[in-house]
Amino acid sequence: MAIEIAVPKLGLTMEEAVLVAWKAAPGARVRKEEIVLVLETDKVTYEMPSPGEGLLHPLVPAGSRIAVGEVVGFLAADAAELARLALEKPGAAVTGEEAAAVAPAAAAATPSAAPPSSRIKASPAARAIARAHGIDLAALTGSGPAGRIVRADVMRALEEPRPAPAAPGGSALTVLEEIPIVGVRRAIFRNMHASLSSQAQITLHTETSAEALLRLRRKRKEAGAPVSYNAFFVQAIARALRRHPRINASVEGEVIRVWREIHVGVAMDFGNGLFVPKVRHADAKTLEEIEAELQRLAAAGRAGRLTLDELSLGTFTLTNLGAWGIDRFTPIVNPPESAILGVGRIEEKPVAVAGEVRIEARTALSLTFDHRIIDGAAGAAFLQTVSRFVEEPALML
Amino acid sequence: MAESYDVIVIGAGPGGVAAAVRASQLGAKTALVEAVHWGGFCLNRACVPTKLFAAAVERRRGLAAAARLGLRDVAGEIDPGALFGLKDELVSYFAMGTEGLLKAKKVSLLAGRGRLAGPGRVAVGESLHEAKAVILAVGAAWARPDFPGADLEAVVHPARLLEEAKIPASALLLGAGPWALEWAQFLSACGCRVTVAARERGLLPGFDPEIGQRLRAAWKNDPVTFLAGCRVIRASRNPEGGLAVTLSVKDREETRAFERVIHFERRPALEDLGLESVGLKDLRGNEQLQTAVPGIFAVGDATGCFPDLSHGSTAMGILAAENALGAARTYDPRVVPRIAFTSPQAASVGLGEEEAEEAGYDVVTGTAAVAATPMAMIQGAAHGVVKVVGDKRYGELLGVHALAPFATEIIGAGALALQMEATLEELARAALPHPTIAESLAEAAREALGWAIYLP
Ligand SMILES: Cc1cc2nc3c(=O)[nH]c(=O)nc-3n(C[C@H](O)[C@H](O)[C@H](O)COP(=O)(O)OP(=O)(O)OC[C@H]3O[C@@H](n4cnc5c(N)ncnc54)[C@H](O)[C@@H]3O)c2cc1C
Repeated sequence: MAIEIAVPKLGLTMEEAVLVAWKAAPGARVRKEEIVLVLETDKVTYEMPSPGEGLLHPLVPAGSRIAVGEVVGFLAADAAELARLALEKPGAAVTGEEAAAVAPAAAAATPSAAPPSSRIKASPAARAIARAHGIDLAALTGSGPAGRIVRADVMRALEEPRPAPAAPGGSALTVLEEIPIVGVRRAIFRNMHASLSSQAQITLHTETSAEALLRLRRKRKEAGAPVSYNAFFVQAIARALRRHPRINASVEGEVIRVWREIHVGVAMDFGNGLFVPKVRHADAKTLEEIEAELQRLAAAGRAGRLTLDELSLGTFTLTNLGAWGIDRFTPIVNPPESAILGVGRIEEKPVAVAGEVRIEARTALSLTFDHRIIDGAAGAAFLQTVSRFVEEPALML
Repeated sequence: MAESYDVIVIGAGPGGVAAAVRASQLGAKTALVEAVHWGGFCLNRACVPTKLFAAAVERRRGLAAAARLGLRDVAGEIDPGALFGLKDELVSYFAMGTEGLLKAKKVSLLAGRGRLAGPGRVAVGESLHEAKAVILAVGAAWARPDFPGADLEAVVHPARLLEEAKIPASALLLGAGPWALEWAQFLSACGCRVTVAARERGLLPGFDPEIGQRLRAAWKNDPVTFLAGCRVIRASRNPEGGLAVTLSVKDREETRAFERVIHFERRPALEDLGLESVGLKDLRGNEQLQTAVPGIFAVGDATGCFPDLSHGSTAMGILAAENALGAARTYDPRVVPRIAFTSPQAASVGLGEEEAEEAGYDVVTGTAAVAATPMAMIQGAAHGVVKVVGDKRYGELLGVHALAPFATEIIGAGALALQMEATLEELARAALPHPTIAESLAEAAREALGWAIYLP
């Protein structure tokens, strides 16, 4: 009997998904647990392992919208069964670049093998950095001995986005790449726009001392339990939300709903779009627990395994661009939430204290909120609380 | 008689020799100018003689512990006279070897003081030479300290001790850098009462502080006295011979008697070099080792880019020769290891933990205690650590630091790893030979990654 390949339900509220790619060509042998197709909902990209072993008979082409539970293909036990299936359930011809790309590889009996990257000469550090940022080493020129790609080459590629080649013969523009607005990108697209068109957003900026934060991190590190900046800010936000519950709210129809739960989302970028996994009940968690949760979410994100449940139902968002060397910026609220905190980099600056100039590590905090439901003073009070917690973490206790 | 060259190198220390040989290898008509001795300061006065002494110190320690290994009735006292004799023999052998090597590599040797005489021109004694590129590898010169009494005869640099070939009864050594500490151990092993006075708080400034701290702990029972945060206020002649030295030790003044005060500071040897003829004030260069004047390169101690290290000079010499002939390579001082042939040895390459933090890395460190490993036990080494510094974000290796027997050999692996831009992962998975001290390098990397195998 042929094995059915059906779309799994990836989260509580998921109803449909896009089958973005088949990872094996029609007729190719797929082993159990090998990735057979890629699904994308508006929140996650999911590489689906094969439910069994067999010869692939796809029913729907890549790019189709499909409902949860729908059978999208079969795995035939042998060639005879495959032939029978082809007659009984003629599959939509599998077209699209993905299938074309895997076909030759499939012929070579290793369905999803990528070209061996070890052929590119690159230092281990260069590889690690390129991997972290999704940079294609093949596109770089190495400046190391014998053309080896070294760290500096990757850093350069990171810093200066490669200029688009000048259009041949005048001012016409040529398309370098077309990126379909689907899946995660479509969700970002929709949410960002919905955010600005449905709310009256205003941003307040402040700057605060990061000395205590740096000290705390150093101490934790010495104690063998290091914490990230994000974990700290999540805690500061969660504790501040408890004191200012009205910030933890959404507009639903004609009412403002203030939430009891505090679920703080943290914007993360794994190189393929923006994800905002949530730290649930952040106000009830210790710094260690928040740190552990963030690490778990980040690992899941990197592996492309965040579930819909981990990505929905947040009440507030943290977005931290400090690592990118951004001083301060104006974040956009992630609806239906009503507020978001943006954190800039920590930098030493001269500050005047009691008539004296001294050098202090400072960081900028920017709060954007929906002015329809949160008044300026309320927003400012919340931001001030967060700011004081950053300045003096002991106040949180 | 004016002769025209592609490259003229001034100074035949490690930097100059490497530059001249490399230039000649690349087909350039090359001359090397040397005023005093082929092989330079390193071979004749510094690295080679003091490493011979360090070997004697180490061997003597080994002999003291020989009974443990079942060797009966061995003991060793250092006979400085014999050692100085061997030193002369070795040094003249290597100096001759250097001269022979240079000739074999078709480098023209010009004995005498070299001086810039305008762009592209070098005067040696009476004769004037022309060159398309000049590489200055003139090294450094001793810088006398500036406390009152520093000009007294008994205030000397260590090369003077080599000339005297005598061990003083007592000595005050200024500074706690590697070369001072090596001399301290040697003099002390020869029976000299040694005091080391350093402005800094710890031993081996510039190394990862943990290395200095551990060396100090290892020396707790050593007869060398160490005064931290100490400054010489003045020195004067003692009526009964030697010097009366007034020191400020942690803001308290005290006067002590020493036969000799030994200073170690050196500054680029820029005197009478004719720099003004080309409009240069110093020899600091760009990443490609070119000075502010095109066509004039500088390498080694002459650049003033301390720490002063022979292998750093050599690496610079090779690069400067290539760049003088049209390449555009850059010099990375970060991958040049610092070393101290103390007992136990210390070595350090790349960034220390604090340096890495200051540079903004999300730092992770890993250490492996050496003393508990089989080879350390076999060697009877009671102290030692190998420490790696890495960055969390990409797992990059940033520094390797060691205090251990053979640390100066082991650090070579660390230097190579850094130069190849290794990550902690590679180091952690290196199959380093067992039993060796070096295997702790992989264990330290594993510890940094959170999976040390032998850490209980
Ligand atoms: C006590 C001591 C121990 C040391 N031990 C070590 C060690 O173990 N390992 C290590 O790596 N480093 C060691 N160093 C440091 C090392 O000696 C120097 O870094 C190294 O010698 C620098 O090499 P260089 O080629 O730049 O210059 P040098 O070795 O100083 O050579 C410069 C040469 O230029 C010549 N010269 C100068 N001016 C002129 C001129 N105008 N015309 C012609 N010739 C000229 C000089 O006579 C000299 O021969 C030690 C230093 C000291 C003080």
